[in-house]
Amino acid sequence: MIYYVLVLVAGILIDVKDLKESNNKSDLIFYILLTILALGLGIYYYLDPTRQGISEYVIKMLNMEGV
Amino acid sequence: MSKNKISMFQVTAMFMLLVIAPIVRGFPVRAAGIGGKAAWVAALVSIIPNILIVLIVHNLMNNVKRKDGKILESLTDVFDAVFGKVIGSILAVVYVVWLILWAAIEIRLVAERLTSTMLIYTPYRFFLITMLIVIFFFVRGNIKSYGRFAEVMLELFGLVLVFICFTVLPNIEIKNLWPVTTYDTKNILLASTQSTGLFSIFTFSMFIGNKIEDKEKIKKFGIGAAIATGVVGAIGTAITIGIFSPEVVASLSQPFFMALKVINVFGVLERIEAIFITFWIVADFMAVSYCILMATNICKIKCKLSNRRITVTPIMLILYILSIIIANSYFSLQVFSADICLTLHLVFGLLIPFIAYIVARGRKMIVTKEGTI
Repeated sequence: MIYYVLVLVAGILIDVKDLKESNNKSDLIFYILLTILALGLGIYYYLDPTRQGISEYVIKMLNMEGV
Repeated sequence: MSKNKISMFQVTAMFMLLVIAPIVRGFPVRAAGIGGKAAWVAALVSIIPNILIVLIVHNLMNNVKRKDGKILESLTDVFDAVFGKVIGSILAVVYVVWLILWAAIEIRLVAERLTSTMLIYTPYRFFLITMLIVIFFFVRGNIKSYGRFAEVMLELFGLVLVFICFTVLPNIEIKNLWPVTTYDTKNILLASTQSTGLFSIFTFSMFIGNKIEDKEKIKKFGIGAAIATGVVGAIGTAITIGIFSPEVVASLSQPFFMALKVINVFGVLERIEAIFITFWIVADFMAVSYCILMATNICKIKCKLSNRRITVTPIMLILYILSIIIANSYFSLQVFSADICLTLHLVFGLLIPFIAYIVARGRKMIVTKEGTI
C-alpha cells in the first residue's frame, strides 16, 4: 500500500507541471477526482487483497459457473 | 498533414494490429468449437456484418449534421447531437468505464499468458508493472508517433503472416477443412458472431475522430479492414484446423502457437514461434494503449480539458488496481473475456451506434450528397 501511495504521489509530481501550464480549473477538478478514485480503488484492494474478483462476481451473477 | 493529427490509414493500422492477434489466437478455438470443419468459412461470412459496422460508422461520422451547423468531430460529439447532452454524457461515461475495464482485462490476460507459457516462476504483477510503465510513456506521447509505429508494425506483421502461411502449407490436411455443406449454415452464422464481436471494436476508433485528418476515407479503409480481418481470420483458422482437426483445436488454448511449432523449412529454419510471440506482445500492448488513448480523449472532449496527458497517470493507476481485482484466477478471466467481453463489444461497437444511426435518421440529421434522409 505504501508503494502504491508513493507511486501516486510521484505521478502527481509529474503532472503538476502540466497542470500549472494549462492553468485550467476544469483540468484541476478532473485530475483531483481521478486521483481520489485511484486512491480509493487502491485502498479498496489493499484492505483485503483476497476478496472475490469482478469476473468471478459477474460469472456467479449470470449463472455461468458451468461454462 | 497538420500537427498532431493522424491519417485514417494509421487509425486503421492501429485497429488492425490490435484485432489481428485475437483473430488468429482466440477466434479459431471458439469458432472450431461451434462450427467444426466449417469454422474457417465463419470468418469469411463475418465480412458482411463487419462492412455493415463500417457503413454505420461512416454515416455517423461523415453525414450526421447538427441543425446549428456545429461540426461533429468525434463519436462523442455525434452521440451528444443524436441523443442529447444528458444521454450523450451518460454514454461517454459508460464507454470510458468499458474501455478502461477492457484494457484491464487485456493487460491481465497478457501478463497471465506470459507467466503460464514462458516465465512460470515470475509473478504476473511484474509483467503488469513493466507494461504499464511502457504504456504510460507511450500514451502520454504524441499521437502521430503512435500512428507511425502502428503503420510500420502492421507491415511487418503482414510479412510474418504471409511467410507463416507459405511455410505451414504442406502440413495442412484438406480432410480437416472439407466438406462444408449447407447443414453447417447455422453453426457458421453462430461462429461468425465471434469475429464480428472483435471487429466491432472498430467503432471505438472514432472516439479520436478529432485527431483524424481524413474522416471521409472511413469507408474505404474500413471496408479494407473488414475484408482483411475476415481473410486473416479464415487463414488463421484454416491453418490451425487443417493441421490439428477441429476437435483438437477446440480443446487447445493456443492452437496457432502450437501450429507454428511444426514449421520446419528444409530443416534449416525452425522454432520461429518466438518471432510471433514478439508480435503478439506488441499487438496486446497496442490494444491496451488504444483503449487508454480513446478513454483519455473522451475525457478531454467531455470535460473540456486543455490537455489529454493529465488524465494518463491516474488512469494508469486505476488500470493497475483494476487489472488485479478483475479476477482471482486465469480461468475465470478467460471465461469473462471470451463470453462476456465479446457480447459487450457487440453492444458498444454495433448495437449503440446502430441505434444512434436509426435515431439520427428519424430526426432527419443524416445529410448525404443526395439530400437529407
